[in-house]
Amino acid sequence: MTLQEKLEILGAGARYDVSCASSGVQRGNSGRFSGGLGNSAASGICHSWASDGRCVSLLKVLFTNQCLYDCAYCPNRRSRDIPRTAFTVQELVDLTLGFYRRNMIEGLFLSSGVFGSPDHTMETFLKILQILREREKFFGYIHVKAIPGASEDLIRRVGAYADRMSVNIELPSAESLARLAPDKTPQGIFRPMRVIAVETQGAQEVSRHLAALRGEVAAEPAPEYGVTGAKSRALAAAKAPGKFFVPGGQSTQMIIGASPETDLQILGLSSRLYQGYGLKRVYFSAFIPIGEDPSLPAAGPVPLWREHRLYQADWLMRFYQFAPEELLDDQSPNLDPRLDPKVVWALRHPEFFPVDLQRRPEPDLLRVPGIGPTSVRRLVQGRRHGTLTEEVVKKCGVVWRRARFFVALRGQGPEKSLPMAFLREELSDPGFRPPVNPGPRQQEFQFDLGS
Amino acid sequence: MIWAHEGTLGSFLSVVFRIFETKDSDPVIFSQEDLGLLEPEQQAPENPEWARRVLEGVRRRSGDEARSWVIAGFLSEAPGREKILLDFIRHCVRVGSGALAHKTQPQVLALEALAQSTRREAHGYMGLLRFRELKDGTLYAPFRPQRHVTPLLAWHFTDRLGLIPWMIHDLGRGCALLGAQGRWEFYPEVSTEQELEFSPEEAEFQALWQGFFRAAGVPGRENPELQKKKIPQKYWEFLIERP
Repeated sequence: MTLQEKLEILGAGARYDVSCASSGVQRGNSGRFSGGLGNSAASGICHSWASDGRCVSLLKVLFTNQCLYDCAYCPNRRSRDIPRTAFTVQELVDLTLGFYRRNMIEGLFLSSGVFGSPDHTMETFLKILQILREREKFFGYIHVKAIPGASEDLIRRVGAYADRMSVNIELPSAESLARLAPDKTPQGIFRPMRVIAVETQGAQEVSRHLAALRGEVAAEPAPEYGVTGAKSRALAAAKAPGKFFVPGGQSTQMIIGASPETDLQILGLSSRLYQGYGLKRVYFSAFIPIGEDPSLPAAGPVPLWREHRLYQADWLMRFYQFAPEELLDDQSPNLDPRLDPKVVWALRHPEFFPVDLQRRPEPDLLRVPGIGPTSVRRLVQGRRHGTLTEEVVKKCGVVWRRARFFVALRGQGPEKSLPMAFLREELSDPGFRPPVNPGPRQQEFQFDLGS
Repeated sequence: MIWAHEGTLGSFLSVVFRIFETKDSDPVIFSQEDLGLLEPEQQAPENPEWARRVLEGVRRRSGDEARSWVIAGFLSEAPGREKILLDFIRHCVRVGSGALAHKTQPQVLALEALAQSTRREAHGYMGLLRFRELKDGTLYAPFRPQRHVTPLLAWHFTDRLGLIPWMIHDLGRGCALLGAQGRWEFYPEVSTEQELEFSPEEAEFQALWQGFFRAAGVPGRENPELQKKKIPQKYWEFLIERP
């Protein structure tokens, strides 16, 4: 098999791992005058966009698509009859450096099928990363997967060379994991997550966070899939001073639509992961049927809109100070396909509105549909220097078409007696077709090249 | 008084310096190119020390970000930017720190928009520039930016590429950045007539990249409108891959 063929197979094999961020780490090329190659920009850099509209910023490949495991949802599962191949260590190093020099990538995203054993796979990762960092003096971005079931020692050693490490939680409950990926155990997934969290935040911090979620001191905490009652906030990772270990933090991914959990369960779990393990991101990947497995839903439309709503809810939790149980409850545990979750909340809480933009505190402004964190910042600056008018508010980036139903300016609020049906129509996304689906938002800094 | 600058940032800032020095009460700045054959009423030769002092003055009055806005704003090459810049600089001198917070002032909003547009394009090119390896090992990246973003790319690529010699070539303006040994230099005039010889691995790497790029898209999630929205067509000319 030629290198070209290998790359196409192993690149295709890795594309379902949707994390592609190259952000979060600001690093100069400390070997700039002695043969070092590469740096890392905190905002991340998108180098291209694939046919599905998603950003391409890293060389995202499997080292091999051989795998011991037979997870029902995975295109690379052991029982599937597909061409199997593997890179040599040198091939992968050369590809990484060659693409990097040509400015096609910010770095490497290294995953793999499990070969030999989880530890054997991680040892190969370790070798590759050591060569890149030490022999080739490569300072670009490296995101490496932690293989479920790998030993703590190897996780620590590999993490010393990577910018980000992630282990995929795959399914939103222990039952679904047992049914669809029996080769993986919750322990095998949560242990690496805990190790990475401890190394990046310190053991005491992590124990405290995990204990707060369950009300008891944790030794080797049992994995918790349940829904939390606490408000979610993305934790700032406080690193042990002086030690290099995964400065970009960790993330995870779960598959949406392959198993019966509700959005409430998914968001609750997500919230616990952010709080308990200090994750940077939880990614959602819409399930794409690849074969006939009786334990999976039959081939049907890919639930892209559901993935999109979950990302919107995730954003609300991380940047708008919403808690999952504010967005959903047992009576309606799933997100509305026609209205985004912020609008749903607003329509359910008429007592909160209208929000007087001149006077109300920042968290209240954030709850208005059409107003985001950037607009809030500008509004707060603007209102210090004078009275806000509709014109100024629009200049601050507020989407007036939506916000006008929920705000009061200069003492003047919106028309009180607008019928709900009219509001829902005005505020819904066009038709049933989800808006141009951005998939996982890659960066917090949205640079739109249009114009 | 009507002043004219020669098109470069240094020359524009020299004019600004002289405007402040002569306390011109009603200055108007054009580029000499816009004036064509007309003579400006007042002249100012390009003086690097004057230019430096203007930028330093803005920085001392209103901070690093304000200084950065002035540079990025000028490089936007938007018509009429001279007036916006001059108004902004006077605003900074008058208001001091916190000048940028006056979002309701038209000169602040207008310059912010210009500066952001330049930075956005520069950041876009940090991702979309593609280098090709030449026979002698130099990395060569041609492009045709709308705004004059080349100076804004200098530091990033100097740092990124280290000892490897590299060149970023603005084919539209005929200027280029050359870097080597961890340093860079700007050349305002570089000839575009050049027969380039690529390294023997170059063709293979381009094919590898195209193959990887095609394999990266998930079937069943095709979204050509989104792809086009993210990479407008004007960037396609020098990409190796075909979106």
